[in-house]
Amino acid sequence: MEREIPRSPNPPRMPRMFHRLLIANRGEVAVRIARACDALGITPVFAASAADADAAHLQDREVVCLGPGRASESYLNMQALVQAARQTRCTAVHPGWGFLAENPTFAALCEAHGLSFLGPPPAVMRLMGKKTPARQAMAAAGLTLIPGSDGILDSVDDARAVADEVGYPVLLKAESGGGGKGMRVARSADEIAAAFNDAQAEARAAFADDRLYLERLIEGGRHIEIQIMADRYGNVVHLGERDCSIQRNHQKLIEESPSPVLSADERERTLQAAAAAAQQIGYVGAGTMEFLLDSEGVLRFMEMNTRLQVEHCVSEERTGIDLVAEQILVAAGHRLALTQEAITFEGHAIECRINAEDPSDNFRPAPGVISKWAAPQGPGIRVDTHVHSGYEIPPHYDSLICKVITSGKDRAQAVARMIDALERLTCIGVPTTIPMHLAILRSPKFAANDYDTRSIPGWPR
Amino acid sequence: MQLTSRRKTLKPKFTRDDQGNLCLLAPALGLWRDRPSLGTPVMPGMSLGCIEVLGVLHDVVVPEKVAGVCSAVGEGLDPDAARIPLTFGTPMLVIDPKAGNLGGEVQQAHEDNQTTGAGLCAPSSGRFYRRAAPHKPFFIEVGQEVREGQVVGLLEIMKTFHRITFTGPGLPSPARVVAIEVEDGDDVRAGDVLVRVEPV
Repeated sequence: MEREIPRSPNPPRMPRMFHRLLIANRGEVAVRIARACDALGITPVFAASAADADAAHLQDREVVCLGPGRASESYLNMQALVQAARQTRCTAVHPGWGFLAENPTFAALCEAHGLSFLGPPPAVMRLMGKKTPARQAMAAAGLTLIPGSDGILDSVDDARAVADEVGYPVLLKAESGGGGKGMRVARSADEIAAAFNDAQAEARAAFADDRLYLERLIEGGRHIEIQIMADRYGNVVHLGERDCSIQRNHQKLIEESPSPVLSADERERTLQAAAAAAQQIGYVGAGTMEFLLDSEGVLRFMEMNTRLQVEHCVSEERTGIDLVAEQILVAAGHRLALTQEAITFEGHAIECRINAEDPSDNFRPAPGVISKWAAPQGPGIRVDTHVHSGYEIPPHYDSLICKVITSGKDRAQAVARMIDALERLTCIGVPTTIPMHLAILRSPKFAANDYDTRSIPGWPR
Repeated sequence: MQLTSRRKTLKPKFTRDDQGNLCLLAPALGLWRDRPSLGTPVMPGMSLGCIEVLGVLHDVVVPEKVAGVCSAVGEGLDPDAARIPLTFGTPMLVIDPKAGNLGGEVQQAHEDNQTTGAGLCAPSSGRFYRRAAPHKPFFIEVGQEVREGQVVGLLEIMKTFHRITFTGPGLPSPARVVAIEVEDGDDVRAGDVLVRVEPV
């Protein structure tokens, strides 16, 4: 007689979920991560420096004090952060952005102590942190590169040969470079030798690595980036592009989506290629690929940021997806609940970064006490911030105090809402960059898209 | 060998409560083990056990100007735990300086260090540097003459560096540096006196 197999009374096994998560960052991003934790029923534990530990946004929260105010002894102290996570019984660490977010050593240290690091696997992070291997991986996956050398340059003669091929002007860059160091421009064949030697010497002094590579210098152009989200099972989606061309000293000021200048064909081609490239390198979590839009309208790959970005809210507003919650779910082993077809892009979104700097005094940073703070509200207005009336901005960290994100059915409506929101934002006690943002948003050049990464439309007035 | 080479010696900072007791503050986050038992007399330089951070033991020693008898562990800490979890800056140990007749009277710290003269104040909070780079000479030294507009130091505010020049109402020029009130790399608040000078 056939025996009946009893059905299991238990539902199918669900992937695990973190109960406690350490936020290894501060300020606005810490608040943002905590919001996603609250939505998922996770207890966030804030790792804070002594300068931040008493802030009002940490009241009634679990806070663990890492060390003194300076970042090297608190937010950059890997051992203290991992010890803090273990001591507070956290099983996951969210690094936010900046500080240790793109540090493969920190990611590996977390994994070694049984903590889930919310980012890609350390090997992928290491690959994308190196310039020429990242270029080669992306080219193999079908993205268009800025024309340049295939790898490390052997000698001045090698550099001259490559430069003659790709065309002048060219940029010699350090393989381990960053922060604008170890970079030299050569505008003709005569300048190659001097540029090569200067860049090599600077790279050796700054990074103890004098390997160089070469790219054609694209002057101006628009800075466009693509938001990627991937799970551990090879599923990758993109959340559209963001145009971040308005910058000052390589610091982004305003970001918007969709890009008002990108052609539909080029957008579609690069979005597909970017998702395929992320899949090919085994990417996991949220990441961003940065491109330069050249004068022919071609998007050329620059680099990949293996973390959540400050301007992720722009993509969230257009798609309605909570990127931080997705990041946590993916890290806990869940599959992406979204398919590319299910993601819809609505209207236009724009973000302004409000810094505590005085635009009338050459952007002098202004730490101090905010005596009165009131954030605007209304349809299509989102404000991400950690400040409040009475908040003291510490001098140890960067000057971002708030992000205002507005959305509308088209660019004109989103911009109009932004101008309205910025006019109604009250911040007394410290100067902010709001007057500069208003000047930009009202300028005819901004409306007509007549700018690139070199110039700020409408500023200086 | 490797383990010992990574060990650091930590000296806790301390505060004073109403009864005159000294309260040592945790110098690092970690697990505190081998703490002295209550009633133990302590002197500067003596061991207070160690703080374990990811398996590495860092020694904790009694700071200068602290002597007395351990009277209690910090509030909220479990005195019976073999390894007491600490976070930075929490009170870890209360020391009674009057008990035990050690004769090690606690000296007043810098409070009575009164220097006169006009002062150049920090224009903003930030980190003060006395030189442009670690291998460069100091901008100014005590006893040196300074003139209006001369650079006396750098202030790092929110990751950007600003020159601090010798200018301000009520400052004599030329002047002689009497004292430099902050160390190289110290955090300062707006209005803190950086340099004291007297007219030449």
